[in-house]
Amino acid sequence: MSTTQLLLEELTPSDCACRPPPIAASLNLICRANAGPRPRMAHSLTRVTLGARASGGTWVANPEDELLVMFGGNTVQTHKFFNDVWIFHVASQSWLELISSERGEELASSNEGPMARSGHVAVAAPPACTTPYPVSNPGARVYIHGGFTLLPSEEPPQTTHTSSQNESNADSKAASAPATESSSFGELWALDIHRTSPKESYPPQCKCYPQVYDTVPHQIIVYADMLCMLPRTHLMT
Amino acid sequence: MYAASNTSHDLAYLFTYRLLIDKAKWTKVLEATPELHFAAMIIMSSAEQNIRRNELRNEVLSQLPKGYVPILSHHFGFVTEKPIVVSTQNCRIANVQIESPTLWLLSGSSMSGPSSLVFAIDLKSKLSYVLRIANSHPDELRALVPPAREMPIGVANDDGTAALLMGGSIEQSVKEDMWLFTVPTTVIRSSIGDDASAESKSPEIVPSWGWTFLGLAPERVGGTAVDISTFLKLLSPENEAKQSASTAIKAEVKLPSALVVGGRDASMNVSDVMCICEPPAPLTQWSAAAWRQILYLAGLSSSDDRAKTQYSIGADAPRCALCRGAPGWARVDHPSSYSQSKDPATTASPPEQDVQESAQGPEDKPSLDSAVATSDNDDDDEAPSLEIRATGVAMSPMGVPTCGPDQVIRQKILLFGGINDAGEEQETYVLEVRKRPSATQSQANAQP
Repeated sequence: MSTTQLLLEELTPSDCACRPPPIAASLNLICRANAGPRPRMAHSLTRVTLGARASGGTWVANPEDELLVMFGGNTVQTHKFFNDVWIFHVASQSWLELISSERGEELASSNEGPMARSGHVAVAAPPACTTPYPVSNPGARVYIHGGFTLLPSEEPPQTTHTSSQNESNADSKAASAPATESSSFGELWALDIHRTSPKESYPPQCKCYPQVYDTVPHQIIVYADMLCMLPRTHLMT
Repeated sequence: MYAASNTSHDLAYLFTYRLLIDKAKWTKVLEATPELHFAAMIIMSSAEQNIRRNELRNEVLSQLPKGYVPILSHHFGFVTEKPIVVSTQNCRIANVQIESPTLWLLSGSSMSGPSSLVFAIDLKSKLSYVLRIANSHPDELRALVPPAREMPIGVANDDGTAALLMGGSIEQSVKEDMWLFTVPTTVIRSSIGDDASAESKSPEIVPSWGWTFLGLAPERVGGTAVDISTFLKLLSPENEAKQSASTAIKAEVKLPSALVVGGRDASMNVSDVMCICEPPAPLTQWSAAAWRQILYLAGLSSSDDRAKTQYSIGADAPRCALCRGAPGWARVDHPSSYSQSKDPATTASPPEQDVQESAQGPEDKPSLDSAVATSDNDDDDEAPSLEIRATGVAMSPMGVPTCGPDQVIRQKILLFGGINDAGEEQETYVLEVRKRPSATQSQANAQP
């Protein structure tokens, strides 16, 4: 047997890939467009579970605190780059906005947060390098590294925030601007997320504005602004 | 906001949860620093050397200027949690001490173009390192590390001790090779019940750390890869033992099993789901012909001799039409089969319902095949697009053992974003993989 033949045998899979794999896949739509983050690509999704350092140094994580942290990304046609942070709460299969685009731009302009970017790397920090969160306030950390953005070739980077009302206008401006200059990033950022205790989060600290959730047709659920005094939900059909 | 389990209770819970986690804070860990010229840091010997791989390769982690962070984009990164590299004597690692956890950054676009370098950042000491390949002839050197590339597909195992790097692109060329990067991990020899004596023994460095060429992968740039090895272990416990026996890597290094979704090949967007359940064993016994073959497979063939090998392989090597000749890979399924309803109200189920269905056994949950056969498509039932650069992440494997040999074990993978021919995706999907029902099971399900 020649060496080449031997090699071909070595490189040939023992079980042909034509054989059906032992697993099957199915795909379910769980969140419609416009119900979560804005459309984008080259963003990052990182799985974390909020945990705490219990007595004895052991790491305790609550399965209900499993989150997917999404950061950054960009659109192709409008060259819009993002630095907002969304989390996908696995238990309820729902998106929650943690840091809005406006807030992200504010933080970036004051160098308290990363600039909008895509093509970056995001990893969940292992418990060894996270803050020793107490059991009552479990937390997690996500590291963000690198990435790039496109800047207008003759204009400085726009770091001022835009309101949600004129986001589409900002998109169209970005599309018309000659965004040809690529700027890459090298800094390493850490995003710390942690839970507050229920005592801290309820009034008077709670944010007191109602939120309206569009769920299924003919059904709107309005959350009361004072959870401790009013029924938690009013269901209007 | 749309919740899959759209009950008032769930939304109330969600709102409460929103209040509970409304604290997030950014911290700049390391500032960006000017780019260094790493080309000079790769030491090459001019003398002809024996091309036996293990004698040639000599990886060295060199410490970079304090606080240095590489400027990269479209790269791959993962974190090692295990204690790694504590050695000043082993010739493979020179005067470097890294402690866990460590952030590894592979390939990507650097200021000087596509990169093939490996960076390590000690997240505790904030010191960074670059992997050098020393004492290698330039030709062999190129075959010792993956060729430079942008936007590779990467997947690491759960503790970050090994990672697969595959695909990617350079100068309009889409790669179809697959490499294993093994982290230098300190391993303490121990046996069960002998922990006390193990402490006294000196740590052992996994000898095969660094890059190992594994073979072909689907021709793919972009896309999403997740490690499903934990799921596969739940699915088939014997698979783990089989995998350990078939690999030359030490058993302490758990190879990731990749599930790749979406991406683009050389000519078009690809929307299928590929998996490699058992990564092929690294080829450790090298010969001259093997070396040429590796060079070919890595896209580096240039000389006449290698061209002959290229012809020989191209003509004779059996290639699977489905997986484009990628050994070990299999197509899980193609989105053209995803004809289930896109209405979340009918497809998505709350976690509680999942558990209930799981407890009832696999026959109650239609397989993909049966779902395709019974689905009544309407205009809304178009196959979802996951075609390029879809970004997903694996959720926890959900397993509920039932009586008998069958277990309903699922791995759910969230997919959001990416682009296709129509633009960016905004809908959120969950890709669920589970054990394919056996032929007898399918027949039984088909009968009324």
